[in-house]
Amino acid sequence: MQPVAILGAAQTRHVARRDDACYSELAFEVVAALLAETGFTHPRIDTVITVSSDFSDGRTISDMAVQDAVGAAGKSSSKVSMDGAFALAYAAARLTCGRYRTCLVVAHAKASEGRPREISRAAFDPFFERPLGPTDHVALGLQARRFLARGTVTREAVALAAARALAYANGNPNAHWRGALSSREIQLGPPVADPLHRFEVAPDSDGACALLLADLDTARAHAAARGVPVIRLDAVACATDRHGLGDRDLGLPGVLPQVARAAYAQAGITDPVREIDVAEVYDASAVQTLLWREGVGLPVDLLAGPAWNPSGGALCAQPGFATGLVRVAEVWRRLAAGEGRTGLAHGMTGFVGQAHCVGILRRA
Amino acid sequence: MPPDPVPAPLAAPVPIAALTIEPRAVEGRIRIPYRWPAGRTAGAFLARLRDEGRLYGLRCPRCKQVAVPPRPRCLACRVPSEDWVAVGPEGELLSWTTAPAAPARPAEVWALVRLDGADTALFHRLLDVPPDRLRVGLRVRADVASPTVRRGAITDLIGFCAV
Ligand SMILES: [Zn+2]
Repeated sequence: MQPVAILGAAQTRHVARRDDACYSELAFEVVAALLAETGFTHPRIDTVITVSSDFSDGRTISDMAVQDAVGAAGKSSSKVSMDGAFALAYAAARLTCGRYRTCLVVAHAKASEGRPREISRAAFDPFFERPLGPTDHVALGLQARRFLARGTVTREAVALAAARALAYANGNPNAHWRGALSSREIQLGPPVADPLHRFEVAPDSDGACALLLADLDTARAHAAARGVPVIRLDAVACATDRHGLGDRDLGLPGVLPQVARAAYAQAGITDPVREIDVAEVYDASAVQTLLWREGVGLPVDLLAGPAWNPSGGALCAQPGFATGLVRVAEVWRRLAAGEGRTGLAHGMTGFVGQAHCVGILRRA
Repeated sequence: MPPDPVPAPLAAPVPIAALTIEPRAVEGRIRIPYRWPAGRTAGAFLARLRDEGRLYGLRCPRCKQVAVPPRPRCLACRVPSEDWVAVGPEGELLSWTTAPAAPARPAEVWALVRLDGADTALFHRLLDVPPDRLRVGLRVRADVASPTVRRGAITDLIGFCAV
């Protein structure tokens, strides 16, 4: 892949309910913040990719409904109706084709407007699964049991991952959930989909996130003019797995190892434990905090290797399809602040990681 | 050339933050009936479940793996599978979880079961298994509704009971 760069990132605070803003106003918040941060204006943005879910918005072609907020009028715009991390692959393709120099990516989600469990049910197979009435949480519970049955990780370690996420989120002003709970307190909390309890399953959040990407020449000129580092996107890889809940072993990381290997190869990474400084993954459950770690080739020990979900991860804020883009924004922010040179951002779509996307960011 | 007209002075704009905004929400409900033809593969599985009260899978001609639910192409080899084979009615519990179908609904026990003779797992419900007996690997048996009430849906299978 020809390298492209991420010039800036903006996100809202992620909260349970934003009644003060409709969803296009929520999208506009991050666009306005991103333009202010980067000094860019709409005429200098060549193409726009938005990320949203029609079912979540309760409105079909939900991208058309935010065109005013993202300044898409008169431009070639398109949409990713998957996790926002996958928009990285789309944006990079648009930039490397040479037709566009800059690409704005905007994701929004207002979980509070609908009923996330009931909406999730509509993603299940209508012949074998959906008539039974499962939800995304059911899939998380089945995955957790499979994962624990492997015996590589204890039940306690899963609760500790959740406790650790809440503690990390205390330092993240945008987090939806924060707190100081012990792993024991978490295991005594209300069950969500056993063996998973509250705080081991990601919250449903309202929030938005935006990124500005550009070709390397534009990025270098921007960095020189503003005295900021160039943060390159050196790799982006994705793959999709089988759809049916019983067609793959949910307790394994699925296609993620293959995706991570492809991203490492593109970025020239041979030793992820030593070369990656910070990683943010979309963990819809505390089991995924550990399972995706295995998936990207890192040891189970959370203290080894890169800073792992130092924002608290999706476990502390899950604004729908914006969740993976928030991972990218968090990695970008840390690299731009000098907290490392190489970062990994991960997103996923489909039940319990049917599809994965991994991006590698590097400070030049 | 006439001089440019002098624009009338505009009233000073009121910053939106200074206005008292009454939060308003519009409530609605989207209710659209759908009809999903099950196709040849799922359709045959569901018709045989209705007519015979039995579960069937499709075997890959190359790797011989049996997919239940049936898939028209082998998920591994991607070649068409046309060999129907009866599976079950007993099988092995691979995973389970207790969760409500919706926040206000009572919790149910959901399961992944690998039926005897199958290589993939069927998602369904567990029925009346005492919690202390639940374990991965538990032998379970399909409980199929009586012929008079079967209608060719996955719910013709009521769920799985411990053997
Ligand atoms: Zn095969």
